[in-house]
Amino acid sequence: MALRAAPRVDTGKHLTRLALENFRSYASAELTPDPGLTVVAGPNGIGKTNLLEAIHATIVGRSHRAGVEADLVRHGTPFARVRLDLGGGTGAGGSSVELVVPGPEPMPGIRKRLTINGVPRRTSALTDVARVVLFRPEEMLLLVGSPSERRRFLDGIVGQRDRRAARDLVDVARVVTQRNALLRAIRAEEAPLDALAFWDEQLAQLGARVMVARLEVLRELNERIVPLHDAVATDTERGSDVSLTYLDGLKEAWADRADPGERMPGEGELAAAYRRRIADVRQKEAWNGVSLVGPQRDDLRAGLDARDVASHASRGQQRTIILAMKLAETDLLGIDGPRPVVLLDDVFSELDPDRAARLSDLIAGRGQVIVTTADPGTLEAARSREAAIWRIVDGNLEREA
Amino acid sequence: MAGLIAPVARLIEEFSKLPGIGTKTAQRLTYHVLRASTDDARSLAAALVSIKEDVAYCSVCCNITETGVDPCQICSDPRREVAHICVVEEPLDVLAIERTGEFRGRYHVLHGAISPIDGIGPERLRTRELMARVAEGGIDEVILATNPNLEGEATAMYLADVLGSHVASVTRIARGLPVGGDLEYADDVTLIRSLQGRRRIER
Repeated sequence: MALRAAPRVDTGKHLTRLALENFRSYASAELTPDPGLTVVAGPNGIGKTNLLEAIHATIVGRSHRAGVEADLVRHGTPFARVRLDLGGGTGAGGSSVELVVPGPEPMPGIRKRLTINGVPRRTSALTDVARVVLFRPEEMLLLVGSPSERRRFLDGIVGQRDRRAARDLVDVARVVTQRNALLRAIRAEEAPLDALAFWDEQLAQLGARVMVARLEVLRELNERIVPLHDAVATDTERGSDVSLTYLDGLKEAWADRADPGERMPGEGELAAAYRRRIADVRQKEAWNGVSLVGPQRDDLRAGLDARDVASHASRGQQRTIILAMKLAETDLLGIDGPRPVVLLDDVFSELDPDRAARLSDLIAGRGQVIVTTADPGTLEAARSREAAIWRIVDGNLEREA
Repeated sequence: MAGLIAPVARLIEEFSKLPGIGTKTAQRLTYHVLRASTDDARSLAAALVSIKEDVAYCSVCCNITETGVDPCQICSDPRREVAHICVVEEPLDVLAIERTGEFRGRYHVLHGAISPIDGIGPERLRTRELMARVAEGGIDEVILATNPNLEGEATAMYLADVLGSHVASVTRIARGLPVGGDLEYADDVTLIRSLQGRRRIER
């Protein structure tokens, strides 16, 4: 049975206030971003990325760069608190989201906690309250870097759009960890092969659900990416056909392999394929002591005029495609939920002036944008766009008059 | 730890091994014990020793029992239904089910759940004892009341598999909406589970 929460779409609530307490480098700080463009300027290492991290981590439930959650807490303090007010906050008819993260030496009773308007909720409940797109400079290597980065790109969209899928992503990671531990035990002859049955079935079912959710996102990205690519592209790049393909590891176990653009496979079909594939690699997995099948090993490939981008496209062509992917992500998140806050972490310094200008134009039409920069040129360009400029002075945030 | 005399450092270290206790809390507890009377300290030490020496495991259900009381109170109660066994992960789960007063059979405590990451397979749980009880015969129903998370489900499925041919009825406790709850506030996964586990209304 397909069961989805009916989306309560509310596009009108932008981020009106960000308040930090003992978060990373900040003892206490407050930012009241503009509904349009906000620029946070300052030299490297002063804590610009920390601001974006606070917004992103609160909305998606985990930090994109902290290995341990306690790293988010300012040194020597028991916990960090991030508060986001959307649409003016609870008092003004909007929403307030608060995240509390305990430090390495927490006070008794302090646990990680997310509240929406004062009520403790799961992170997945934010789907209807706030969404976010974070664009990091490292993502300029998205198409040539490790597959885990590309899965993260897809799962970031999947997890914010659909609560059930968000939960499935967490569960499948846990199943894979447990299954890998069991496979290691089997390799060491400490556990029998048939102990895998439960974990195999979980992997097949959850794997199928995650894959359907990813294929769905990919199909919708593909529907949008060509015009967005044209909009970012240089004159010579324009007019190309860009497409994203999902690379699953199901091989011949998925007999009726379908192109998601033509026929979206069902969960039952994929779960059956996973079961067959798991049976096929059974011995190999037992020898290797690691799961060789599952969504944790899948990948995403970009094609430019039917050629593989990673091996054929120039650096510039790759960047254009990546920008188009991020713009498509922004548009996709906004269609069935709150319009995402777009966070650009020092991205413009990675782009040539032409592309940077086109990206600025495209982003400006997409709602609230918060940009960090250490580059005076970007700052000057922002001034001409009537952006709100903030600076970090002695660990505090100050708005430039 | 520099600047600490050995007995203090040792107690701090011991306290920090306890779950949920960091170094700072361990220090606070240590200095609290240091300031307390000798009698209080002895009483704490005696209680700690006693929990290992005076607590044993019931030879029937593997729940904890006082040394010398074997089988445990529940297993030796003649009013309890012998043919029904409720399987739980931890002794605390027995207390939780006992509070309901709904179950009149006997228990079996596994002392854990299957979790390969922690190196816990069925052989590390009290499954052999359960199989032995079932093999003796006279058991009509085994209720699997392990937690409704991945590890609990893995354990329940394993037990359902190995018990299936020996017991007339192996059942799993239901998952779904809390009583007195509001549909609107239920989280999605719980709601999905309760739809999957829906029942025909008896008329």
